[in-house]
Amino acid sequence: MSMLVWITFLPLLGAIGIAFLPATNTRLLRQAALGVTSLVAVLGLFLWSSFDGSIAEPQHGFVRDWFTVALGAGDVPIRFALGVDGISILLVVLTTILMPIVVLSSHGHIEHRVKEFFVWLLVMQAGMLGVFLSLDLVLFYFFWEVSLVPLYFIVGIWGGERRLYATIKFFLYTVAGSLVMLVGMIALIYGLQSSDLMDLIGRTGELPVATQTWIFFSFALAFAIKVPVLPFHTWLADAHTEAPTSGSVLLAGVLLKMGTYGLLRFGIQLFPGMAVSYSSVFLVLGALGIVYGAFLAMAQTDLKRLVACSSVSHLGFVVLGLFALTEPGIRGAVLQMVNHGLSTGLLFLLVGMLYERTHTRMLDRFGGIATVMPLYAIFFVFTVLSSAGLPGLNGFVGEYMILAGTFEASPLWAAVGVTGVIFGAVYLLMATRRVLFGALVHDANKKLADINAREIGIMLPLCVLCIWIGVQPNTFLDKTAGSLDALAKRVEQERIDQERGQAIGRIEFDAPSATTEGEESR
Amino acid sequence: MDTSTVSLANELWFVPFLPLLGALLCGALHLAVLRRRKAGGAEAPLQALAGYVACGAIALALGIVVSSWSTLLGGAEAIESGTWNWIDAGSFDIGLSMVFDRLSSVMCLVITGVGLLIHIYSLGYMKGDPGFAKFFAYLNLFVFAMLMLVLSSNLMGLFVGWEGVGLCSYLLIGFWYEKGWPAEAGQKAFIVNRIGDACFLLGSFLLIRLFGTLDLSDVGASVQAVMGEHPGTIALAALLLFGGACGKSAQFPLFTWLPDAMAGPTPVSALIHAATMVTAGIYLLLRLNPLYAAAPSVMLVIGFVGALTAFIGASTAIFQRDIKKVLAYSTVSQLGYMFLGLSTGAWAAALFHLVTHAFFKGLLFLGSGSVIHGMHEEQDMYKMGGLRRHMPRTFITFVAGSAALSGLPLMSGFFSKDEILAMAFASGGLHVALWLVGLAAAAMTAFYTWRMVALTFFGKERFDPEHVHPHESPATMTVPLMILAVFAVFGGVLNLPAVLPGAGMLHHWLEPVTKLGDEILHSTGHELHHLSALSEWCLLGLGSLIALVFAHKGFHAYTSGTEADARARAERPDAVGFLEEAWRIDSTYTRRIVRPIKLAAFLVASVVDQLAIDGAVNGAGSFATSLAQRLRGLVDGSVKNYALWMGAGAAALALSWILI
Repeated sequence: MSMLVWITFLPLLGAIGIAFLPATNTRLLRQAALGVTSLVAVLGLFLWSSFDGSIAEPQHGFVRDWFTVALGAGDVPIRFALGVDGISILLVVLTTILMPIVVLSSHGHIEHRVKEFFVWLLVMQAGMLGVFLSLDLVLFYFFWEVSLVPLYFIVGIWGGERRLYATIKFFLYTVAGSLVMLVGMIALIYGLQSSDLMDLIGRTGELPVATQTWIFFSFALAFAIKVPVLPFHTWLADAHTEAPTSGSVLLAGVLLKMGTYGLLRFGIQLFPGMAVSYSSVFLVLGALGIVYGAFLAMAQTDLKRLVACSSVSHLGFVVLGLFALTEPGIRGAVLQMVNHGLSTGLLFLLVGMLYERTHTRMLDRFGGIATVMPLYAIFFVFTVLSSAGLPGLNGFVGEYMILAGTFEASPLWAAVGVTGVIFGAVYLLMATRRVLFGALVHDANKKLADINAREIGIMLPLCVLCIWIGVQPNTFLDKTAGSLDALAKRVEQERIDQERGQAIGRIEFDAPSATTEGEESR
Repeated sequence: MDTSTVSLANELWFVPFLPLLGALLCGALHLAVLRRRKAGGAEAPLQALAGYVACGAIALALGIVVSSWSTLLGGAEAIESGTWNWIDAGSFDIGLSMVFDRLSSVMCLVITGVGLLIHIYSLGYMKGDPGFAKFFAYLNLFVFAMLMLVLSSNLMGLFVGWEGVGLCSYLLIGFWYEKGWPAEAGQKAFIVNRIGDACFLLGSFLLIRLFGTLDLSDVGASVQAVMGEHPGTIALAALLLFGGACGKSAQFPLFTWLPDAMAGPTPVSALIHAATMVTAGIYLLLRLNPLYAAAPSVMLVIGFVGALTAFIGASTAIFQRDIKKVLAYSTVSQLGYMFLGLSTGAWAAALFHLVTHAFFKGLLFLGSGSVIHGMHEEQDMYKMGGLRRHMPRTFITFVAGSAALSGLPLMSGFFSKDEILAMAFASGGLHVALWLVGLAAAAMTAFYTWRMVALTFFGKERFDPEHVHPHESPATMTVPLMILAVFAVFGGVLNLPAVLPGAGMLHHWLEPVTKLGDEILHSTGHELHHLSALSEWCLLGLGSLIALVFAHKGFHAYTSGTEADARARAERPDAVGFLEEAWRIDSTYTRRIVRPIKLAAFLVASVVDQLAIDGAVNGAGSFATSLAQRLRGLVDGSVKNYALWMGAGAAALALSWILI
């Protein structure tokens, strides 16, 4: 029995268990949710310690036949296949350890329908973990959709004033992406007669180039919406702003990473040829996203919306690094996924703590908060520095590797990306100054209580990780070494092949799909 | 580097990490202070303890630096620590280690030596401030970062320190954040520096491309092999890294943050914005001297930027009323001299001026702090005057510092500035024009320095004797002043001109570090020309004459009070206004860069994002919503159930596997 099955389904079992608890006993519900998520976190740490980063292939594999579908030439077996490799390990562990923090953070603002909240939260965790662990296309899609529904309810029920608008927007956006992906996925399964991810990797070249192209973009669209990549980002600011704090933390911490993970797994690993051909599209979108998101953030008057817009900018770095298709670029991008989860998660926690005290998020309602909440100010400044990429903290390592990797591939877009280093400091420090510094002009803020032990306890583990990644990133980079090294080499090979193919007159794309007829009917 | 002369010494790590430990302890003490303040207890003992911890940490670091120095004197070329494997990602790896060589040893002595004096001074200056412990935590953190900067063997390690000092500068400029404008000044400093940092990062990527490493000595050693093939790339990398130096060392066009940075407590201005941090750009160029030697066009750019900055800074300082603003623009100007020196390949001269400047400008800032302290936080020189009677120790030391800054004969600043100007003169060609600009700036320097002395310490007392009672500062503040005054006066012996006995000590000391750069300069025909003894004497005489004449003019015009300024303002209001506002460069930036960017951000957010992109989305959305509303009753319930049943089914499936 693989550990991965436990990790994926324990939250689901927990959700079912909590569904049977009395809805009025909030305390018990919170303890139960914390218990389940902590148990999963412990499993996540076990997984971490038993994971060998030097191996490229998935580990802890778990495969069972699920069902078969008659599609085209024969029955395609759909399997319940889980596994973890260097592409997914960081995100899996991040998801497991972030969840107890999310549960604890909900104490301040989830006061009604507590039971439902935790049920949805745990279903969502199962969905997200499933997404990262699935090694079968159909299973992946199943989890992808499972993770979508709970957030709809979390924002829709416990959100802010414009929550309905935000949820519908979010839902329609992602459903649109999912459906396009579904079409592409069916076409892929049909074309290669397999739904097994590890089998499909390396075989997509058998499809005609035109088919590869549109399938690649059908996947890419769904993930681009999820990330979100410019210009599909407008759902994010609304969803973030309206979501309760815990929802925002989860959204920024993990859910958006499903998009970047998807781009890496299904964009680059599954279609390396397409990734090489169209990398410039994503480099442009990533680099522009960095600048565009920063400009958006600069113009915001709502602190939470500012943080949401900063996500667009920060995830632009991740997209840039991924599609630089160089080893430092990809490895930096994968690390940066975690970094963004930590820094932006912390920022949302901080915004939430302030909102719970002042019931406002407007920057002009603050000022001088550091005077009354000195401990809060320390965490705030720390987080801002982590987010702004100060060396010694997590953000710098990721950003530097991404930019160095991008520079190898395209100095121009690296140069555009570097401006994000400047603009990032602009909006983050502007927000810091307007919230923390200056005189305490608003009387309502004069009696604010500083953060309490629970709030410190929530943030401290994340801060420790920020420092750890900043000082000793190898702990985390080592885990991704085998898989990402192999991936980078494969993409490099693909690039060389393509260049050679172009050099001798584009002869390589002669319908190779018929040659493997026998294998396809397996 | 010859390994036989290198000893491996991991205790070198203690040099930066003792101050880091001090910073952490002071930070913990600050938290304890906050706790006790909440409980209403006495916080003074905790605050005082933090001050002693901080001073102790720097003193210990200074001790290790001095003992390591003696190892170097014993003949070792450098002391290296073991390597810390920081980032290791296959083809991309960065290891950090500390190297104590002849260049970093000089920097370390300045940082810990002057740093210790400023720490002790701060014990007096910051006494009674509620953030006393926090102040020392930041100050120690700064020293840690600065030592990392100068000790790192790798450009990325240097960058860690580079950003660390920037952070501390930000925190310390905005130390009195309740007032608002210090926080804005800190923010400005950070952001302007980030512009330089972006250039720095791009430069580092180019170095990776050129040399495949960021190890500073490896880069230096490989320049000669690469320069023939990629002269353009080398020049671009050098230029971009110089862009980073412009930010940190406040050179045109990125100098505008430094005058604002005076919002911080005065010891901070002395330590960070005069003696150490702002010289990081000069250190960077010195460290990469082979790279710059291989890029003569960039060297010329550096010369122009340095001379121009020296001129802008000096001319702006002339009409300032705020004593700290005079010193700030003076610092900008003096840093320009150092870059001018570097541009001629006079590496040792630049370092020499860096060291003497740390003495005399640190002294002047601390002296101004003593004045401000004694005048109840007054910084406007128009409201001072006649203070020499009230604070004699501050007065005498301040005069010593002013003599050095204005380059009066035989003072430390006289020799160091003269050497730079002599080298510019000797380089010939365009550098002669730069020499003339430097000479003009030197004249202005003498003028504004003695104007400052006259306005502050001489003439009538222009303050209200009813409310202001000037007093001498305590010994914790005046003793550091006296020690620095000795160095400011006699520091010139470090590197006397060739015509004097015992000449060029620093020059010879630095030779192993600059050997490669000198070789490259020699091979490309850009090596330094030596002046004849006669011309050197002439230049020394010219320098003395200019300093004395203009020092006299400045002093004489202002001993009687502020009338000279009023006259100038009445006669040439445009010119004075132009100079007062630093050539209106900062306001031009606000108008031409900051506001357009803010406008662009507003337009992006409101027009592009809300109307164009989101408008399109909502158009599609409203169609879908109307559809959804018709199906609402049906869909809403079933999605929920669907998901729940799906989850339950999957869980059951998993359960069956677990049981089987």
